[in-house]
Amino acid sequence: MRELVEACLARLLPAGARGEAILGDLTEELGERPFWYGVHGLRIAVRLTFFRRRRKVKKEGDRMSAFLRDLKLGFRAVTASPTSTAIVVLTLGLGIGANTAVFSLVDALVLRPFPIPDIDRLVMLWGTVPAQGEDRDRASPGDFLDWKEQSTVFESLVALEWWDVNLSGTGEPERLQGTFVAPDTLETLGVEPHLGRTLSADAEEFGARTVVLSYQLFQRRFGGDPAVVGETIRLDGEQYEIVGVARQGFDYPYGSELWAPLWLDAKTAARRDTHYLDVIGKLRPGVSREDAQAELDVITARLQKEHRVTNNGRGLQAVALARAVIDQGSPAILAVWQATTVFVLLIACVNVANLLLARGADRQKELSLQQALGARRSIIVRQLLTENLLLSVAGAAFAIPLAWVGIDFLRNGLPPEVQRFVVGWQEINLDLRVLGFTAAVTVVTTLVFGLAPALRASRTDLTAALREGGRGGSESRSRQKGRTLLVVGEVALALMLLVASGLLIRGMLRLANGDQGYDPDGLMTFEIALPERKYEEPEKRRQFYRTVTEGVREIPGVIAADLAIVLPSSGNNYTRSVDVEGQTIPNVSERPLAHFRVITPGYFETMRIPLLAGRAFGSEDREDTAPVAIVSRKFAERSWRGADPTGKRFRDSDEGPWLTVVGVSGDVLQDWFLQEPQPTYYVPFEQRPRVGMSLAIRTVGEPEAVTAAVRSQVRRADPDQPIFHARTMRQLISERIHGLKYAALVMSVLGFIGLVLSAVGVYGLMMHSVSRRTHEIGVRVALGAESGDVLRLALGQALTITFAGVAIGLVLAYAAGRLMASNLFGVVRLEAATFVSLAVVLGAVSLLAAYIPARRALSVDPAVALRAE
Amino acid sequence: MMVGGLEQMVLLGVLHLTEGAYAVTIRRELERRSGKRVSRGALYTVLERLESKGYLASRMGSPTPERGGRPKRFYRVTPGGVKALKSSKDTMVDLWRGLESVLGKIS
Repeated sequence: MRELVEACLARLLPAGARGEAILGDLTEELGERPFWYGVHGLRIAVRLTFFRRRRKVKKEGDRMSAFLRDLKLGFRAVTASPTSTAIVVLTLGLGIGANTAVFSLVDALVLRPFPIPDIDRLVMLWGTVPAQGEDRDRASPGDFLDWKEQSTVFESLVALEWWDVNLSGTGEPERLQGTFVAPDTLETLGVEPHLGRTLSADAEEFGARTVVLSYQLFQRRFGGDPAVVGETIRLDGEQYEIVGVARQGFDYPYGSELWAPLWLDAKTAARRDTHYLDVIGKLRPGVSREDAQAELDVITARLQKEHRVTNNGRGLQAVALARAVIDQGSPAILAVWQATTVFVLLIACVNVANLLLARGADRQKELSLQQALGARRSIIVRQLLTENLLLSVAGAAFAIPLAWVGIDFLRNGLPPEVQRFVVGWQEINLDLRVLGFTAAVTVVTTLVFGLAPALRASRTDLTAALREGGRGGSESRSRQKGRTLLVVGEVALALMLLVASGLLIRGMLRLANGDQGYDPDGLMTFEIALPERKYEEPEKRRQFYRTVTEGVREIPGVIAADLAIVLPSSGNNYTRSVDVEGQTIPNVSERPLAHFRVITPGYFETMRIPLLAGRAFGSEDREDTAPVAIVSRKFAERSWRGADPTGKRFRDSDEGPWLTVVGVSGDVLQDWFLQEPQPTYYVPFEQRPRVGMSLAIRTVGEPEAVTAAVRSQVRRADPDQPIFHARTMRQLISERIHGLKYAALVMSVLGFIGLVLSAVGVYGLMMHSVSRRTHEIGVRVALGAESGDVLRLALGQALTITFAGVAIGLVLAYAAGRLMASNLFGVVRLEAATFVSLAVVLGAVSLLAAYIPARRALSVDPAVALRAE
Repeated sequence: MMVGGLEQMVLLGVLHLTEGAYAVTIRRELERRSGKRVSRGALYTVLERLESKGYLASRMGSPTPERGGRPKRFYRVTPGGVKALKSSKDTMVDLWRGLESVLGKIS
């Protein structure tokens, strides 16, 4: 802080030895008191600047401009009352700073999420299945190729496929995030190579195994050695040639670290029943998104007719890429924040308006005198506005470091593994646009909240003001009423913010600690993704996972270990439309959806999910026995409405076999934003062996303690195979709600700022009213008022303000809570306890803020107070 | 040739201090002798103005740790300054003369 002040002063003071000596003098005298150091330093700097400037102007034979004179007078007025100035600057700084920080976030994440040339011409094509409420589905290879062939509106149409890839060969095997890309994809996204080249568009390349590395991977894994271009690396057990390194900062999509050609062989290219491609189109110049949508509607209608079974009910929507990449939840949360900061700024402005009004009232006498002496009203208004401008410039200057700190806080608030899924996160910064925004807010603040008091102060009834001011009695009732109302509004807004943040925190805690449907304590989890080519044989998959689970169960401290295709709160999910025997719906896209889980027999026991009826899977469920399934209670209720589900049959594809229900399990909460457990069915791993599985391990003691032993068990089964995402179940749950936690944290900081500002508002008002009424209090004391009477007099007003503010605030908070409850996926519930406890906190703080000035009223000595007039 | 009130005070203060006259000691000296507060801003402005008029000369001292490693700027009154002081005083005395009955004796 000292350093900052010093650095600022060094700039303002005359350069060189002269300034140095002044700084030395200040250090010598005020080195221990940095605040006064700053204040006096600033005063010296301003005087010297004016002095020098005037000398220069004099030399030029010019007169000091009116503005400079205003500025000088303004500066004097502003520094004459340091307390109220400090409050105004602090208040404005907090308000503007918070706004700038949050706007930076909105700017980076929503307004222009990432730096891609011609991003306004890029659209993402999402599949829609209205009957299932699906509106952002991926595309099937067959559909993609047809769109590409039949559409005319796109300059290029490209596709990307998620690629979880295992890098091995050199050093520890590592699991990376990669992407398969169709020809032209990297060009369409405007990627230039840092080294080598990107993938070429010719068909030959797309049969070959070549790969482009991200700049980050190139630095991290290969030490930034240019010689890697041309080398081969082992990915999923196959050799790939490195042909280039992408430019720094490019990591689309989702923090991708390498890109390889998307190869669609004839069989894959014809498929329309599986949807896994992200399709991006670049519109031809002059073509609008609506034009594209119209053409795509025609194409999808045709495809619906041609491929009735797979495409019936499937539509397509073209969405601007910039909008498509934004996380679904974040605009809602960002909107809540932006609204919150606007309210914080509003509170800040109310504070400032109040102080300016108070100041205007205090100076009424001075201003009337000026007018009486012949000053034109315009001159007085200009003078007051200059003063206000000075205040807001100081506030804005103070806001910039605050915003800087705030942005840093926002940027580092999310852990890196979450950040990479937030497109645009790297771009968050305090930049010129944001500064422009701040400047605009400042000017508006000054005009709105400076003009009114300025006009008001200058429009005084001369005789009345002189008489009233001379007598020093209490100020006119209407004026005080206006200010009181402002403070009431401020208290109300602060309560609304507090309750909003309180509700979010409560909701988050409920999600983190509420019932999950299983026992999350003492569980360790890992993910394994076997390369599909190497483990094409189902038997090899069974073999690998059998070796791993058996090995893991031997580790000391492990009670049980089982596999599932996805674990709750892992962020992944598999969903199938199911066909219940006897209730067949012909159109696939209209069938009910259920979560699909592949598990090993002991899974329910390991997770401690209750088995409600029937049996668990066992060694009797093998590849060559009848296909079986266990359904969750919700599934059973939806499909068979209370009838005993065991023995009933359903299937998850028209070609697949019927699955016979052998048991019913308890419900499990998969993800917080689903709000409640979804219908789920489980099938045995032996009958549906998958390459990617998650390992759930029930341990005694600390779950993480088994990590190293588990790794070595996996290495024993396959030395090339990495294991990743080692997390305890508690960590998974907590990471899953990181975004929310983060939102709640930011909200509570903003709520706290609101609380502080409103307390300052109450304090300011009471301070002013006590000092205005010193005379009155003196008279009362002289006439025999006890200290209790005086305190009641001083606190009475504060009580009224607080009660009114809290009452209005509760209504506002209820409305805000309703709004949040509907926007934030049921995270927020309206809980009376939160409302009441925060109202009590706010009331207490507000009364405390009023108590300090009230104590001052107690110490009024009637003799002094009366003589002072 | 005439110098103003605060300018006179500063010049006299520097003369009183003889050695070691820099902003801090000058201000202290003036406050001690006049019993009135002297604003830092005003003092630095006056020092600068007197220097530009050639009534004060300054030199830099060596840096000391209690000043955050920063040097002092020592002032002394130039012969021109002394002359200006004298002429100011003469002017004042001329103005006072003849008013002893109202203002008392010039001491």
